Amino acid sequence: MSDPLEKIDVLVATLKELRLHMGRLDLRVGDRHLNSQLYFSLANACLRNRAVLLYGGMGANKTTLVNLLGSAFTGLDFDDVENLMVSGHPEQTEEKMVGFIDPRQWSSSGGEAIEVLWTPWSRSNWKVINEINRFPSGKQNIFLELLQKRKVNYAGKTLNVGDTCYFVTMNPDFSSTYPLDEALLDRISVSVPAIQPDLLGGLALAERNEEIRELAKRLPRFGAEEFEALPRLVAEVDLDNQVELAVVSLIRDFTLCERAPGYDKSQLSGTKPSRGLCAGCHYFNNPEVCCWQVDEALSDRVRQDLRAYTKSMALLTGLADADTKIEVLRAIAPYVIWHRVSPNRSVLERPPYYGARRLEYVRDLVEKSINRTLNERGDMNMIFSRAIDGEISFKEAARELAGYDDPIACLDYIPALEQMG
Amino acid sequence: MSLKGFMKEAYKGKAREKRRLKTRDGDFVLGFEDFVQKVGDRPTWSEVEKLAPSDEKLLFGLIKTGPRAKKHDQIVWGFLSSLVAERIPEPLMLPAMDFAGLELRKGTIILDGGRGAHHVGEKMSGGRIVVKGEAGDYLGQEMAGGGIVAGSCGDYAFRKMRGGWGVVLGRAGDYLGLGNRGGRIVAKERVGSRTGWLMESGRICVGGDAGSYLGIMMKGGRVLVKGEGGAAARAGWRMRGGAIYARGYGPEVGAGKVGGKIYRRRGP
Repeated sequence: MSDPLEKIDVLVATLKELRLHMGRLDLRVGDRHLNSQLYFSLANACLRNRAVLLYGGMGANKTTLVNLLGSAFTGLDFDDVENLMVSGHPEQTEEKMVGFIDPRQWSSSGGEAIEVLWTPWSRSNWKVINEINRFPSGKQNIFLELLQKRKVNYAGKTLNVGDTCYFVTMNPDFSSTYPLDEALLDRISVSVPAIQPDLLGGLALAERNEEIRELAKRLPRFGAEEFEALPRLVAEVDLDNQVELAVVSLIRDFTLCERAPGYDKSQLSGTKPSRGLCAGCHYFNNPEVCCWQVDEALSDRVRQDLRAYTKSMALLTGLADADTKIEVLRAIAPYVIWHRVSPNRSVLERPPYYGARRLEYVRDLVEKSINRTLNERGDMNMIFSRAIDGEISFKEAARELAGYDDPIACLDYIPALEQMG
Repeated sequence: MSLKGFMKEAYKGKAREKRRLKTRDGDFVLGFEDFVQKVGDRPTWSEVEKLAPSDEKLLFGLIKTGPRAKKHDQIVWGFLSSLVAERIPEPLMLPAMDFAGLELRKGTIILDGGRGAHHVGEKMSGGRIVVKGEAGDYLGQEMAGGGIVAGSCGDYAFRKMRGGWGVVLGRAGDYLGLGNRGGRIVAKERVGSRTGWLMESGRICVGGDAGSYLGIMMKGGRVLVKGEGGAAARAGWRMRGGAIYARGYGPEVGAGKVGGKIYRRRGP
């Protein structure tokens, strides 16, 4: 078996050489500039049971790229991978996507149990859901169940789909699209804007004079063993304590709310920051604090996704053993979070966001949270740690922490110390 | 591993176990909007002074930004403008806005770029305020010291003045010097009606003509009108003290007068 990581490097180079993907270098990881659409798709291919959403206008190479990667990683022909994909439209049914009962069973005399013929898409470990927002809202629930339980149910039968790579594509809101359910969005691990190629990319694409399916045959192919080795390689990547702390603090920064029950924003119903909840709050309008700038809390699923994609991206970018995995977290975190939260409209509408740059908005919040954790929270974290480890009394620690104007100190640490004391 | 060990590793030994430096000095102030929320419903000089950042740059930043639609916010901004003017050696240049120079004690404020800001220099006890252009109503209200120069002004200018001086280079509105108990006012052009109403002390000098009811019910002080037309009707109505000097008067001059003197000036 050859080194799967080397093969991925060859795959990236070949995609570029054959002019099959010429995206902008819009993702900066440490000092490397990468294309987010390609590298998040590759990172997802190295993981299992996570979904990456490619979001963008028509012709941004979303579906083709995913199918090209599917062809390379599964070893199938490009056409076969295309046939595996399910596409959204109102007439799409569960029977067409998931499976159907073999009609020949009705004519058989025996009393055997009903057999379901599962579709190739159901059985595949490379599942592409094309244009998910063209599925009516009710039909989107099929994917909710699939992403939640990793199982497909039909006619009382269950298919355990096993470890699978999920890819989803989506257009912006058009006349024939439907809104995506928030619960389904939360189960999508990463959302990546698929941006049209720039001028140089366009010129490079003009040099392509063969059909994509013909060029796809020249891509390197992964054997089953190599493909299965990728999640193991990701699992071997260790995250240092700095990254772990930054991840947990990031989740808490988005989740804590002084006015919510249990200081937990996910408990809010009806009222929320964008509906005046924060008026007069001590933290309101403080640009360094995240709580009032987004309506939603982040679930533990986000923490798992942040860890998984940090590991996967570190592996792909050769930073698996480096001391700078925090830079990987900085790079990937906005893509993990931005589709799960609603920004404060009054801030989003102003420059430099102009109501349109939601990803940039979340990127700035992520940056603030990580910087605050690394640069300003050291002392208070040490005080809390010393109290937990019994070096100082809870009372003394709470008194010292009261001097810190930080949501985590005030809403997490002090209540915890009071409960323990 | 203990939590402390985890944190030590996370911060790579950079985090301190004990606090050696003060982490903050007073509350963070992130902008004018943030600052006004810390001030009570009835702002006072001492409260604003206590909460204001000691850093001059931060303080100046507060008066440069921030919405001032509410009267509460305008008053806080007014106090801050005076605080900045006191702390800097050079004149403070500001756009003319309501309550600028509120309770000013020293320093100089130059207001420019706005039209008709009200309550400028209210309750000031020292320093100088120059309004380049038109001032609104209540200019220098209840001032006890210092001086104000304005291009023109609206109604109730220098109301209840106790000391200091005011110069209006153009026209002044009605009720100039209402209820004054001291101070000196010079209005170089025409003034509106009821100038010097209920005046007890101090001086008002008008370069142009005066409107009706000049010195109405005044108890003391002096009003001098230099304009060719003099004062309009009912000058010195029910006056009880003080003196009015004018080149001429309209009808019913001194009606109901029980004290004081009304003079007709002959010279320039």
